[in-house]
Amino acid sequence: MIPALTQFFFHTLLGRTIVGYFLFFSVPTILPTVLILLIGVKGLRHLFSYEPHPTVIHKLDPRLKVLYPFTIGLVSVFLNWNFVFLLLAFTLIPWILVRPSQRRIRVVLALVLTPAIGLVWSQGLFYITKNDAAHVLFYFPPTLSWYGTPGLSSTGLLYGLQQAGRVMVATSSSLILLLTTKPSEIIWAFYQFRMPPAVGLAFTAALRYLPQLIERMTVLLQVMQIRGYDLTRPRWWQLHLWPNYIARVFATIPIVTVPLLIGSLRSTSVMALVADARAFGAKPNPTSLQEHPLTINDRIAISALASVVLITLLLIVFHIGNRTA
Amino acid sequence: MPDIRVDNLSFTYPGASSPALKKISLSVPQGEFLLLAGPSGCGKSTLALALAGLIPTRISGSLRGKIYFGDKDTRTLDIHEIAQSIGMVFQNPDEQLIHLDVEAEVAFGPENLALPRTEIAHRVEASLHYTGMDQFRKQEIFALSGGQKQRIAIAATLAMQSRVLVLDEPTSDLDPVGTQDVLRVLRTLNTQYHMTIVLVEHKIDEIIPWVDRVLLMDQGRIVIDKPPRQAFSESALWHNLGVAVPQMVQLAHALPDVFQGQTPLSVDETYEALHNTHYAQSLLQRNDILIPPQTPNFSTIPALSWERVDLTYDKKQVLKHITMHVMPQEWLAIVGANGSGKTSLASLAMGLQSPTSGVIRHHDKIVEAGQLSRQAQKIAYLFQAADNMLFTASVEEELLFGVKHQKKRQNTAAMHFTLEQLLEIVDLTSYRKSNPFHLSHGQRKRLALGALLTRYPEVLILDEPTTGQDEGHANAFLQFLQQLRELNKFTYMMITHHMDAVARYASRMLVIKDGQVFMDGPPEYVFAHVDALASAGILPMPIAQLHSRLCNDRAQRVSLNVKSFLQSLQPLEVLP
Repeated sequence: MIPALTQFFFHTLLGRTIVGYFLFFSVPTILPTVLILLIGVKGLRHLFSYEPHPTVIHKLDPRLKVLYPFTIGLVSVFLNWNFVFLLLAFTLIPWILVRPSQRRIRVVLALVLTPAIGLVWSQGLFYITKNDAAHVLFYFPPTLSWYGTPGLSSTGLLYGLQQAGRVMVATSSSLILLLTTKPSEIIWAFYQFRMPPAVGLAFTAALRYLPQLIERMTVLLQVMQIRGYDLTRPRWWQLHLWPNYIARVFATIPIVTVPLLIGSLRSTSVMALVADARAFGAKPNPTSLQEHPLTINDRIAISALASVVLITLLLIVFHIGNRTA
Repeated sequence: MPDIRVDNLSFTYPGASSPALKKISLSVPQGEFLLLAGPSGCGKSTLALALAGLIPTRISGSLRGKIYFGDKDTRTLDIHEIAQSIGMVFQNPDEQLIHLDVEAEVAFGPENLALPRTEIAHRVEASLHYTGMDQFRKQEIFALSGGQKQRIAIAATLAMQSRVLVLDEPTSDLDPVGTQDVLRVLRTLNTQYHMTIVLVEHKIDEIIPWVDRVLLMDQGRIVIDKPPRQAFSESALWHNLGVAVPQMVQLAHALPDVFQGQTPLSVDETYEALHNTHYAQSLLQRNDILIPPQTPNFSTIPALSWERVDLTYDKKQVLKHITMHVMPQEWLAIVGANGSGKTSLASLAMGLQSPTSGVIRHHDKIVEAGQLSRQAQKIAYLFQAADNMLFTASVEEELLFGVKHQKKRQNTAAMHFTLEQLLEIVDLTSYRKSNPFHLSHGQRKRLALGALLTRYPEVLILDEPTTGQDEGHANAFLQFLQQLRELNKFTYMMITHHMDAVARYASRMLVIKDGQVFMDGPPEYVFAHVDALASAGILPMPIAQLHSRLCNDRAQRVSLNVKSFLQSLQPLEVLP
């Protein structure tokens, strides 16, 4: 049985075409589904929300927490992939200290792993050098020549894994900032770094409107169904119904966009009036109620971050951890 | 010197054929509590925006005349300078809060003014204290109720050290508890801190005892400008404009022998005048012989039923062991404080979500969550925000949306009404080709309802059908719903905070408290339990409160309107 299947899928044009299609479309189909299943539309509302807990990380100076993802992201660019994954392990320390809720862990894992898997898959298919023939794991048949890639290569997968490490480092360090820092603290930190106030306001408005936008979109989709637009999801085995279902889902996009836009514009116009009335932009150097004197924990965290930078510099200087690709 | 002086003010919006404000002149002394009333579109919100300096600086149009704050012409001031004297609070708290936590929100204005940190801290503390929100200083805004959010919006305005507060329907999106919270804060700011309050509000019954002066507007003009006890002497004018006269005032006009030209504004004042009269004696006698409510006829299968339903989000139990029903052709009102579980109850019936345990049935069929389009053939859901229900570029397309987007195999199910019939039902025949977003609020609401009627549902769930409408428009829409129900034998399940609508139209009301059915019965019997209702965040209409008090809080049933109350005051022997 197995030899026959092997023969069919790897040595016949039809079998190889099927495998080729599967390789090409499985990940782009599965990843969004996994993302929605793990997070859900309701989960998206709390994707970037602050989660209050009395932890050391929450109490750290916001300036330090804003610097953290930038520094870690920058360091990851210069290191080779072995050390990038070591850096990823380092970024897990704050998560262990924070001990987020299970729901948040699910969201974070989905956010970190989904782009990483996507990256590994895409690089596996498209990162192929001229002399890479020996590393191609599966050659696409001539029927799939329109893909523009000869097949799935181990070099590409490895390269994708390295890149994924960098993406995961950046996502992990950015999400810990959003999870443990109030938006007002982030903006305060940005102001301390001489960021224009308008950028800070835009950032707050975005965080404030994201849950509302998702809420409104949920209502719009429900309304469409109540008015007769069928979005009932077929069972997994009803394969013949899925194409129509997917087409109907995509067709909702232009329909909900107009009311979504109108609703958002109406809301933002009131917010703009309020911002003006609260003297936003009236003075070149606004002051702040917040005050964050450096604590011993801040100093420890600064030392840890400085050590990471220093170790990276040493690794580069001594050609131990330099990036090769 | 008055706080605000408006001198011959006219304003026309760009492209409008007539001015929104026409030669308005008025002065508002310091410490005055002024109520701005009038039908939708009369210009009261425009006047509020002009007083707060947002017209013409941020909302363009042609402005003539002047507004002075003290001796300063507000047109010579920048918007943030005006905001330090006159603060504006809008209708929807979610749209006017910028930050995500309370302290940052209140501090936002003073920070923008580049004040020293100690001054900002002082202002934040004082503003939160004025609004009774001290203990919420470190809270996230999303965790607050609607009333609390609105109080934070007021606190943030006060932090700019405004001496005058202009509020444009600040309670229209709030439940009765939130409304009372906000109104109490305004009362405190006015009486204890002598702030000037200019309030645009439809809930006149609730606010009238506290105001110093009433302005009634119509078509951009002030038609009445009097103290509250004299403002309703021309009640016909109020009725013609579709603005409700307070029930206590209506009663005083109907019983001149008791009130002798005096105009009571509150239930307390009316009670004082009535409780030792023969009217009160008649009311008590009648109360003693009243018969209990009729038990509903259970021989028919309920249109909707909830059987031991629980609903839990994360660890919060939203609905607890709910067992209830809606009978065919009934108009059931569901009332309760925000967060009590009313909307969850309705969403389960629609299939928007599934219960944690228990069953919901439509007749004898179990409602399956997620099968919305199938469920919508029998049950329709009119959302609170009609704008969220409209998608297309014309009224006609809107009504045909459902049919057009049905699956091919379902196309055999033709519309029950023809397009022409639907247009006639929702009274939009002359707007057939108009863009839905160019219609008035009431028209958009009717259009959304018409779009639901294409599938001829048997049950209609109405989620806050009167929110954001003035008394006249709200009554017109409810009357329209009533006619529709009588003609088509529809069943209504209405979620509402509008007790007057419950009193006028509902055949039964259900009070939800903490996720449980707290009270269930005809409105005249349920509204008799004033204290119990207060514990569920419900405030009956003033006439019902008065009836209950005159019966020493032992009333079995209460009057739902002034007319029936007056009948109850008649001696028993003169009744047919």
